[in-house]
Amino acid sequence: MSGMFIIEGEAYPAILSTSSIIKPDDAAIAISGNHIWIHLDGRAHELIWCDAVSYYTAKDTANTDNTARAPMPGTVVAVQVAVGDRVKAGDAVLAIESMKLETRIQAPCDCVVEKIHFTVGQSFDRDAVLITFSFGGS
Amino acid sequence: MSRYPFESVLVANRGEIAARILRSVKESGLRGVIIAHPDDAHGPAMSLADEVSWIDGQTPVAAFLDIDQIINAAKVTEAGALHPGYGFLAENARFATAVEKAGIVFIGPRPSSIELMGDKIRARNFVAQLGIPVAPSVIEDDDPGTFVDRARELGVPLLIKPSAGGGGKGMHIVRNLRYLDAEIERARSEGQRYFGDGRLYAERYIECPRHIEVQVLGDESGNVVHLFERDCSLQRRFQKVIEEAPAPGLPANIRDRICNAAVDIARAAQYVNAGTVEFIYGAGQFYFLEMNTRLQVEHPVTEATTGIDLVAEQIRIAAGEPLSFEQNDVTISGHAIELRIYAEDSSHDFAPTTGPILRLQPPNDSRFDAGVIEGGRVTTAFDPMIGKLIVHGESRAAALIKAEDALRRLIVLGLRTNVGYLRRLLTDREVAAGRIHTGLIQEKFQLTAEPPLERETVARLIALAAPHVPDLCREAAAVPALHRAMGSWRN
Repeated sequence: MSGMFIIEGEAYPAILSTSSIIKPDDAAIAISGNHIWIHLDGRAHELIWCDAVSYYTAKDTANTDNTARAPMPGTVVAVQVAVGDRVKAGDAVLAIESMKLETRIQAPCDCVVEKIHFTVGQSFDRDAVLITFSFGGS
Repeated sequence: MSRYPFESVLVANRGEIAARILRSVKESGLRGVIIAHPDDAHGPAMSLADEVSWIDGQTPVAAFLDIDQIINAAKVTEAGALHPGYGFLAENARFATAVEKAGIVFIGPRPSSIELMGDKIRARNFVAQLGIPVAPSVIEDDDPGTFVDRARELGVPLLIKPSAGGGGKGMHIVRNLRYLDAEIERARSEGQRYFGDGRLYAERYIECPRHIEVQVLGDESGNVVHLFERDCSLQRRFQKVIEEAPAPGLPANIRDRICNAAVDIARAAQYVNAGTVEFIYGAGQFYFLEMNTRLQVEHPVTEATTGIDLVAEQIRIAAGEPLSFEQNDVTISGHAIELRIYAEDSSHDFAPTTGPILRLQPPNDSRFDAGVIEGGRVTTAFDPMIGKLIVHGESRAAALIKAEDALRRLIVLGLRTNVGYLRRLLTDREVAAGRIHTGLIQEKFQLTAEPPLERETVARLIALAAPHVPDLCREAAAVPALHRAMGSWRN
């Protein structure tokens, strides 16, 4: 089955090459599930294998994503919107703090705030859904 | 029979420092005992210890802070002495006292020294009385009504800090007294917001300061020597990342004065065992910062340049033996650099990372004090240190080349680490030239980003990875040569 390797957030088509462009002993390789770690030329890399079906399913979901997710673990310091507010893609909806850094969370699309999952002072993990939006009318 | 009044040492610590202490315990002909928490059962010290005593607590860290439980472990295992390592209870005077009361030798300073240096204001006053410079400062609480005037008298540049502060929050540098009032108000409101406490203090700010510290050793007979200085100016989030000895470009007369000041402080404090006196140095001036009454994380750079095993000396001193050398016997050769290898993501403000250690292979020609073992894990339970890589060269330039080369050959796979960042930092022009200061890492934030991958590298990575994906291999099962090649690859 064909698929992709995700390297540093970028997707590359996975090709099983028959040519030997590299000697195996040039690199150290370690595998954990679909994560393949490679030490090459003094640098460690993580490749995440993703088969084509899962990759395109995930991508489709991302395109129509109606949530704002946490880029890192942290705490909510300010909520700039209320349920029912109409927002434009890129509008600041939330300020979060993690590792002493304040980060603005933006609306992913032109939409309406449907649910705010955290209040000021609450903590969350990486990738937690912070706000859910809807595309419905006002 | 041991040549010391005790035959076994309990190491009340974990990770790399527990393993490092156990090595010297064994080399000193003593039995080594380690305490361990079940969640941390695969540390690097486990295989080095003659006996393991299990401890428990609400969290793994709580277990390592449980004085009664640790002293009980020492009694049960019949340990005659205890080494606290660093962190946890290492600088807790109550712990040192309890250890001694239990009839166990504490491998560290007297409880009274820990107490004196643990109170930062008391330590500062003690040092100032000796005529050794401390950074001029004024404390609002001393007389709130005159705080602004007293701060004005200190002169610029000034650093305004919340009294309850920490972590750099609410700190403001004032370079022109015109802005003093405004900056005091800003610092106060931030102190109030972050710590619920608006009280402030002001301190003379040293531009581009360097962190220079001196290793001292004192014995029961009152002999005190220094083992020269270390430079620990390369810090992120107020934590040291790279340490070296000697301090690059430090004028000889300043080195003498700093090292002598450290000995004077230790002697006046009747200091016994290993300690470190920390100074801030800038614009030709140095100021006492604090004294750490324990073995430091970065002690290996001193060991590399002086050839003295600091833990072995600590054990000898605790056994009541006098120092086996005098000040004039201590000489330094070459230059040593320690690189702290952390599980962290430099491109996300050095946020700690966690994950499995699928592969850990240090270069075989450098010292590597490992904090984890291959097959282990870095978790959120303890600090994210993977290990310390220490290199030694004839000169700083030679040591830098060795460090870069050793980092290239250090293989850590399974989680994000700071290895790539350390390589970029080492090859920075200012760092290479020794023009380092405590704000350098923050100034050079552009070094934190991973450089983009070259197309050729991506192609090589994919070629290497693809044979390890079963889905892809099934598809190409008709290519036997490939499977032959795979057979020689290690997972």
